[in-house]
Amino acid sequence: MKRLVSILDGNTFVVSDNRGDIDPSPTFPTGLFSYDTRFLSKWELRVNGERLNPLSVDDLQYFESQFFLVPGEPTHYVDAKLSIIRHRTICGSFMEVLTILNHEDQPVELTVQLDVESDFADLFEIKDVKGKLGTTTATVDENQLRLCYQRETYRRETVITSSAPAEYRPEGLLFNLRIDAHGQWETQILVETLVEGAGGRDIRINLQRHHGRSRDEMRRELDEWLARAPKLTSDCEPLEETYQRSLVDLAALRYTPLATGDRLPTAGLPWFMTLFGRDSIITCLQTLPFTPELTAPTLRYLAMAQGVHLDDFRDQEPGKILHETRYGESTAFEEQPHSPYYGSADSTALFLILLDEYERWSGDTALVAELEHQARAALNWIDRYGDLMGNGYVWFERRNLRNGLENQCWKDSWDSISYSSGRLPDFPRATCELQGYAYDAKMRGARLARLVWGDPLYADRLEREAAELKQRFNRDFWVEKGEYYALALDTEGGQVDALSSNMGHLLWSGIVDEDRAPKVAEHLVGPRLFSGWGVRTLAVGEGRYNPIGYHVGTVWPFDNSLIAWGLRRYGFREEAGRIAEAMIDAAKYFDGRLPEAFAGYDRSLTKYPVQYPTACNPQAWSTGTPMLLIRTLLGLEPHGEHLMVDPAMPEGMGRIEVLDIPGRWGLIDAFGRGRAEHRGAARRGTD
Amino acid sequence: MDPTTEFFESLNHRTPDPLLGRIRGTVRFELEEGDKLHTWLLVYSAGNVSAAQSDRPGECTVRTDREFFDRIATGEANPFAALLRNRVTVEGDLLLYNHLLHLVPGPPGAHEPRDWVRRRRQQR
Repeated sequence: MKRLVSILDGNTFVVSDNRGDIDPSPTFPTGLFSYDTRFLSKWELRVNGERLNPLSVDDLQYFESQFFLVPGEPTHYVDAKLSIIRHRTICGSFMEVLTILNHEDQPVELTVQLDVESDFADLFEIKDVKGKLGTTTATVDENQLRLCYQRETYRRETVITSSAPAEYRPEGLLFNLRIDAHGQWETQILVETLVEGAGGRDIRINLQRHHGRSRDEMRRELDEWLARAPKLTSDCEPLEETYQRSLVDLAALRYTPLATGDRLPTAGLPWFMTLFGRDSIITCLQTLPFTPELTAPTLRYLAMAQGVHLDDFRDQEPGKILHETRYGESTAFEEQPHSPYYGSADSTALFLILLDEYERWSGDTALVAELEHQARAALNWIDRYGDLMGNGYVWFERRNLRNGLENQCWKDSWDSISYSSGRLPDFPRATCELQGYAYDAKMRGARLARLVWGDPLYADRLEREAAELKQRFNRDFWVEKGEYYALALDTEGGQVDALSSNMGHLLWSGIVDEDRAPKVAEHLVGPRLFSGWGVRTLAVGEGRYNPIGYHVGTVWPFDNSLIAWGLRRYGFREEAGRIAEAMIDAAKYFDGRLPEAFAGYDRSLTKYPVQYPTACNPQAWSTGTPMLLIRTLLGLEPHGEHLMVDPAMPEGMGRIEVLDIPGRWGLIDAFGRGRAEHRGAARRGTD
Repeated sequence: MDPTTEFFESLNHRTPDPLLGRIRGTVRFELEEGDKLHTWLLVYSAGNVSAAQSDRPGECTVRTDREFFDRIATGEANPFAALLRNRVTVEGDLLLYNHLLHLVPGPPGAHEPRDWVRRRRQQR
């Protein structure tokens, strides 16, 4: 497969090959996409009828890239008499500046042809192609090519214009050129996308961010974003690299949903460029110490879109936090349920956890007060709707049998939840981490009830319920024989007894009994779960273990970041450090950008981490991973108005210094050093 | 009474909703029926909502035909999906339109999750 080149601005993005061309592909998301619709499925440049060949590709910024091309096969490079430069940017719209240089000492006459098509595919259709129900038309006028897709009232358009004179044809643009000796020719080709709403105008017209940002503005915004973030210096170069990469990728992944002007994290390029409850919340949790501005808008938006009805198609219940929002054709016609879809059993508890964690860092009690009723509705959801069996646990079973998710936990592929034998349990299922989140949500809800809502009785009740849940959980989920927590409970109360990474989340939640924690830690860094590059989703030796199975053996960076955080919470400093170090090592092999997942092969078998074949890149919660690892290594913990720093770093990692960590304390610096005898220190910033 | 009128009338008898406690604003509905235009003004005021037939402008204007709005008013059509397919057009503050979800009923025939689970288990 040719190397693919992506540039993005939130949920508008282009994926092309390394010539800058987009070839029609029914199976892989190449093209220009915006709001879950493909607006260009073909974008092919020819000079004198010939396709071009790349000399190099510069990834200038996340929203900008440049391709240097020559005509002819690579072996003819030395003879190239022409250079072609395609410089493209995504700033709401897609702009390509095409420059052709003539290296000869005489004029040349050229035909430059840009073939253009759009299939207006919904992102959901690309994996599962079917005939379009609407009609696509191409309209040519004097100075533009307009591609339209219409199905009943639904209408999407791609409008292409060139600054230099062009012959517009239904199948593309044609330029007949004469370029002087050692001369050059240039044109700016603008591709605008239209999501039609009132009066034929774009639905997104109210979103300030959608229109009219120049490349300079985009660059300035990125510079400001980077300048606001804490500064990291370290002896560990890969850590610096991955931190910088993460900051840039986080900026790239922000998008503006309909209805608000705020910017929230999308989940991952190319499949998940939209708001996911779980992914967005976890990304915010990971990045709070570094880029806290993502969190309040995420909480507000999720609260605004909180479930109010019982709705089988959307797996919605009152108080539930959404799973996924989409804007494409299949959602618009209610063929897919993402308007929004609520099929996740963890996002509601995670919402409460983020609300509390946010207050601990920011001191923003006003937001906690503002969202009191939504938070209470979320807490109520846990008991009233999450507890499907009425026995005090959170369960899931879809009511949308057509295209709802079977597994409504983070491991949401069909075969992720299994007994040790490999057998799949019946529905509903109660996975262990859901119980941990519910416990944590109640404990944190209690804190907020006392601190902000002035309701100590409610706080007492929540704490009592949490304590009972913890007791029950430790009785029912603990697998005596292997000394670990079961992956899930089945409907008969039996243990779904595969050994899995889910246990690591339990440490983070605090639901693990102190005397059992050492065994849990031992398993997590033991040979069956720990590959050397990280903790596997499923342990070697389990029936369904497969080192390249999506949720049954691969290593997920975000999973590892939560596990390391959990180990640290229970005092397993060395184990947490080992996981952090493995992740940072792995990041080296991906230029600092941790992918969604990599293979679970043993580190001694592969000298480098093998990326999961269709992994998303960048993926928000992988992007957040280095930040949570830094927090864990330095032991950053808000304590009242102060930030506690208690570093525990692996030997050999050297020094880490993070300057200007924002929070209710103003700005604080933190230091750590990778030798056991040295302790770090906190210093209050001067400004 | 038709579903649309029934829906708007019922808003005036709704108990205050704490989930809408911080929402203030007005939404104008323009519902076409043949060559007639029915206009309603919905007012959000700190948890209380009211609606009346009125020609006053709103901070947000929602336009569709009366027949389709009947389907939204009975929970059969989803307002957000309708916006995406341009079946309903909205001008002005989209956030106010989104809060409509709190006022319309959910889809008819939806199941209580616990009942659903019980029934499915009996079937297996």
